Amino acid sequence: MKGRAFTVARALFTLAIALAVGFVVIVLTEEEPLEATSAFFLSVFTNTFYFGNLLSASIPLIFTGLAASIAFSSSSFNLGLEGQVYLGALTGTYIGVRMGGTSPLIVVPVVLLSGFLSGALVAGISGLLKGFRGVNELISSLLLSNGIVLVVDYIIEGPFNDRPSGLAASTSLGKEVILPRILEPSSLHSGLFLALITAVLLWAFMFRSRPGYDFRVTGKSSIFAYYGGINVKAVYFWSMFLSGGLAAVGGTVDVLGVHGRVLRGFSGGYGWNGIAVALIARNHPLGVIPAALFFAYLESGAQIASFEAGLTPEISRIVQSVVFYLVTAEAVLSFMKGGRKVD
Amino acid sequence: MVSRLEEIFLSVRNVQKTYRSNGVRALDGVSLDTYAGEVNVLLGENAAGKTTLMKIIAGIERADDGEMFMKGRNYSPANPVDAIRAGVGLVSQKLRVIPQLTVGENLLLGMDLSGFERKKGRKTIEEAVHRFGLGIELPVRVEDLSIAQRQKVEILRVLIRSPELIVFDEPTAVLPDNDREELMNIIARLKEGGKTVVFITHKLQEAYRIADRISIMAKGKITGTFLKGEVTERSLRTLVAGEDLAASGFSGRKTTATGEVLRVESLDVEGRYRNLIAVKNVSFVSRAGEILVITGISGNGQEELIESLFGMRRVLSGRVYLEDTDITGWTPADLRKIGVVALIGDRDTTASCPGLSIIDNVVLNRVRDRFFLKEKPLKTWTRELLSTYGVEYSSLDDQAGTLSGGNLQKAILAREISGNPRLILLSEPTRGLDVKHAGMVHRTLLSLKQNLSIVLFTGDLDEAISIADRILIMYDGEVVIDLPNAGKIGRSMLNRYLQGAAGVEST
Repeated sequence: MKGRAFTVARALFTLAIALAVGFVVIVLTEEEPLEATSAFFLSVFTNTFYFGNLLSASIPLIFTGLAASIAFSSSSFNLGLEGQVYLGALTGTYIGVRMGGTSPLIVVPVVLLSGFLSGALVAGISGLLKGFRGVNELISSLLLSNGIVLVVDYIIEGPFNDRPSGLAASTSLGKEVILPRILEPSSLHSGLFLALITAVLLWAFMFRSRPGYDFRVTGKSSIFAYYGGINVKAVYFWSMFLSGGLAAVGGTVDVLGVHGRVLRGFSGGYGWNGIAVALIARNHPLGVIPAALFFAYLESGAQIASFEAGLTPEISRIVQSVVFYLVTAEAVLSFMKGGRKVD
Repeated sequence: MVSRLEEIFLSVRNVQKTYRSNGVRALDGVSLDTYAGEVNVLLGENAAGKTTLMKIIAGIERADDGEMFMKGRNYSPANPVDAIRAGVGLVSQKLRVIPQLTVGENLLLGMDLSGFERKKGRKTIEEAVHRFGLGIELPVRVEDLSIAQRQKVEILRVLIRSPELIVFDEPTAVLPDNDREELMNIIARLKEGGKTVVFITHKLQEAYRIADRISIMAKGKITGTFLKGEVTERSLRTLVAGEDLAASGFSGRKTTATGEVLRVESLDVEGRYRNLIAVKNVSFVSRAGEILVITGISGNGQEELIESLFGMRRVLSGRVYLEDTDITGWTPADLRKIGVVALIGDRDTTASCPGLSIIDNVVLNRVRDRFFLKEKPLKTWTRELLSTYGVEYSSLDDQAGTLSGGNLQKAILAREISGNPRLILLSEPTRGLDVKHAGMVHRTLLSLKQNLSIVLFTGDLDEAISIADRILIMYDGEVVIDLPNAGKIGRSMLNRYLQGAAGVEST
């Protein structure tokens, strides 16, 4: 228990240093540093619109963060999250549009499930290739994902395009299947609860089930796992499968809750940011929630500061990166452990 | 024997150490004098603090309190580099070699050379290999070496820096008999060259043989220091174990072998390189109710044999049967399902996972047949199992890497025995254990063997003779002798077979 308190204290301390450094960057570059700082770090808490948008932005990050953490803790390096997000969004939208008119109580679960399966199957390919052909999943998932993004772009601009709108976007889902909004006029939607429940379920899976145990053991040492009677190839497949599925659901939920259809570039890096979220969370499913909120907080802060206080987007980015860099910096953390090296 | 004892080389004064991570008080005011040019043997049970003391001397850990003096001057290394500069070399218990590099590259590491001096470095290495004659080849990758051979690389790496004080932390734990002999010779030569040696071991016999001075350690303190002439080997045994174990030896062997459990037929096994056959045409039978000991000088195919029997190495030809089932080439997963368990020789990467928690390391077999894991019952079960085998730990959630070598050994042995197996394959089950715990393991195995078959691989002839119902010796990948262990087997005879000096014999 003492160890856990120490870990939390350490995380908070790092966070404090990170915010202080962010403040210094703003002071050095802005004419009115106090205003810019407060816009960056505090404005988001001043009205429900900003705050709701922050929470809304964290939803896909929770899903992709969970996707990355489950893959990483099983030593499956799924770098195809971005493509899986797009694929989940497209598949979900297409199924939803085709099922138009059916009761939302049926449509929504089917849409989510089909989204999940699309990402899961694509990532599963990388898992199978790793288990049976020794193909590095890091490369295969990345390459597949890059291709998928282009194919999805083609589909939403070609066959599945919403012609009347003239946008690079797909046909829209019916209003009745859109997830209920919370804290209007912000874009926050009930997908948040789905994200939170998923995180808890995933925690239970990883720490209270035997397959989760297999994942964790394989993640630490595949030789030990094999020796211990764990089907390592199955772990490679199922961890990629689950990871891909979760990332895809992140895309599907974003469509169901915010956009109502797939837009070109709607993700803006949910997949990649999910990896960062998992890093902050140290691959712990419950840690993903605060990590995703923190990431979304920095994103919102950067946006708000640029239009409220005229903080240039570049400086916003720098502050964001500095804070983020410090929080993820393993070096800082291990230094604070007391500089003790074991063996 | 005793020479130049007038000068104290290293003096440790009242050193204390409590590990912050788990609150274990490892050293409780240790004072130890080592005189220049002598061999000081440190004896003690598992977790007595021997390794911690050595780590402090080598600058890996820092003492909480107390002082150290080297040749009269204050000595307080802040890190291993300080210690090395001061002339201290540590041959550690855990192997610190990089498997992916060659022997030569491993030796070059840390030699503090600029790019242009590699040639010079190579020369130093070649000279050292020549001087100490450890018989290892420089261009071979370390991952292709046996554990014992890796140990030699580790020793050589320390010797190359020509330290004044060399600390050996249980170097013989993984070495088979004749390599051990070689090490004793090396130590004798180091002493002749005026070096000072601190030697940690569990093995009383060898301690007694090479020591000038013997210090006994228990529960973080030195409990006694003797010059060699002052004690007998037998009295040492009592001093270390704290009880008279010499009297509780095994009261003869009762072979109660019944049905065949394991049958190996003409097995050929792939070696560490391609096209190398490590195990050649090996056949044997192991029965329920007996302990079959497979021994030999390390590197003669024993490790490859146990790995292939447990599905971790490719079988080239031949068959393996468990009762009537052909289990040739089965995976560990399938083997464990039908009651075959194994303790593979490579503890740190195969038989345990130092980065996982203790409980996750121990419940490996236990969780196999269920889906949901209930934390409480699992913890209770693990606690009971570990206390039965006398494993000391502070929390089940600590990483297994925090366990001392002996405790880890007991924990993973307990894990393998816990699942009511039909066949147990064990590689060096008492490696790193002190006399008391090794005896405990032997008694456990003897009580278990009634209902199952045990195949035990060891490089320790004394262990083989004391526990085996049958002894099988491997030389150059072949079985050269397969005999019941019934009185007529003696050390010298076995030694001849170990060296491959006798022909093939079998009854």
